[in-house]
Amino acid sequence: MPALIDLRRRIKSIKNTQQITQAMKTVSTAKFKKSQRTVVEGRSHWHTLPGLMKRVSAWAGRQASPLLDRREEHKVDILVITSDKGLCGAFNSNLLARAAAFLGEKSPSAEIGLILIGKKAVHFFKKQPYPILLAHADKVEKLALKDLREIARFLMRRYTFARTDAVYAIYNEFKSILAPKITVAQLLPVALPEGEKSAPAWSPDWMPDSARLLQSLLPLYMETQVFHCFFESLAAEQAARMMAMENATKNAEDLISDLVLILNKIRQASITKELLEIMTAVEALAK
Amino acid sequence: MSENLPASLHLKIITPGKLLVDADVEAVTLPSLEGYLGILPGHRPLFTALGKGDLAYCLDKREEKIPVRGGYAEVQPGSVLVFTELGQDEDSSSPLG
Repeated sequence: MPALIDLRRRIKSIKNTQQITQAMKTVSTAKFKKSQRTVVEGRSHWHTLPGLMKRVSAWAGRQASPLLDRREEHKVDILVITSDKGLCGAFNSNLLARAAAFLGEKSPSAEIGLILIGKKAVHFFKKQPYPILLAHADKVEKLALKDLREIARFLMRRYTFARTDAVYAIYNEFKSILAPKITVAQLLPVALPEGEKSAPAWSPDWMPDSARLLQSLLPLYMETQVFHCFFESLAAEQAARMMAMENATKNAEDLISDLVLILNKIRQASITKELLEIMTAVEALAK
Repeated sequence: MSENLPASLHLKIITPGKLLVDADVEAVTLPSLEGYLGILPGHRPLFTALGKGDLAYCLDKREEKIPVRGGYAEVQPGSVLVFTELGQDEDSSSPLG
């Protein structure tokens, strides 16, 4: 039977932990509200632009820009987005497992290059044999739009100069608070749905001409895609942390109530024992 | 092709921040790079870059104006899709109330 003092100590330490998880939950709830707003407000932009881009590229034809040109996948760049910090459940481990599986699929036929955002991704891929082209492993939450734009430009440059034949992004999409959705998306070449010519019957007028329009539209498109992946991941991370911390707080609560029950039982037992001893002593003296 | 001319234009204006306008309108005026373009239902497909200026549209016989700064517009006979960034005074002229 454990001593009372040990139990009291355990209960106290669990209470402390509970306070911390509670605080972390509050913090991530606030952060989540903010990033959720970004995602919800940005979605109409993010989700309409690819459709437009597909129509435009179908009209302009594959030769209009090097970014539209589809090549055999000999070299593949993969953008992996995780969080910096843990304590958000299976958020990172699920994503990294999926990424590793995807790399396993691609690596026999193609040379792989990695672009990593997030400390967890960097730690994970450090031990793997794939070359890391670019990594942001610090202060991911504070990553400026400028840095994301730089990533988009970097990817476009590599594709234009044929250093890579396809660019994929693996990230957690914010689907609901309960669970993020791991998404693998192809960023480059600007993908046309296979077998389906979505272009309407006749091509539109262009102002100015299509080549110049595409030259400015494609970078915008790429930047938007990278922003999209990043902000979705950010919102999903906060949601995952919120859930994880809520569960932790609840578990601590359960644990405390169990321990308090045991504590009371032991206390009760020892009081009964003492009473019994006293009674026996009184009985003995009375004789 | 005049027999099935759409009666109105479905206008969508999307900024990086949000979906600003999503409505059926009677006419749209786009500030293109080479001057203002009036778009009526049944316009020929057009893809154009936008310059700086006021984007105007007619909704229920009232004209609304939105100052924009660059962007792109895709015109189809029955719809107009605009990607743009707002000009400076976006709050004072907030459309649709």
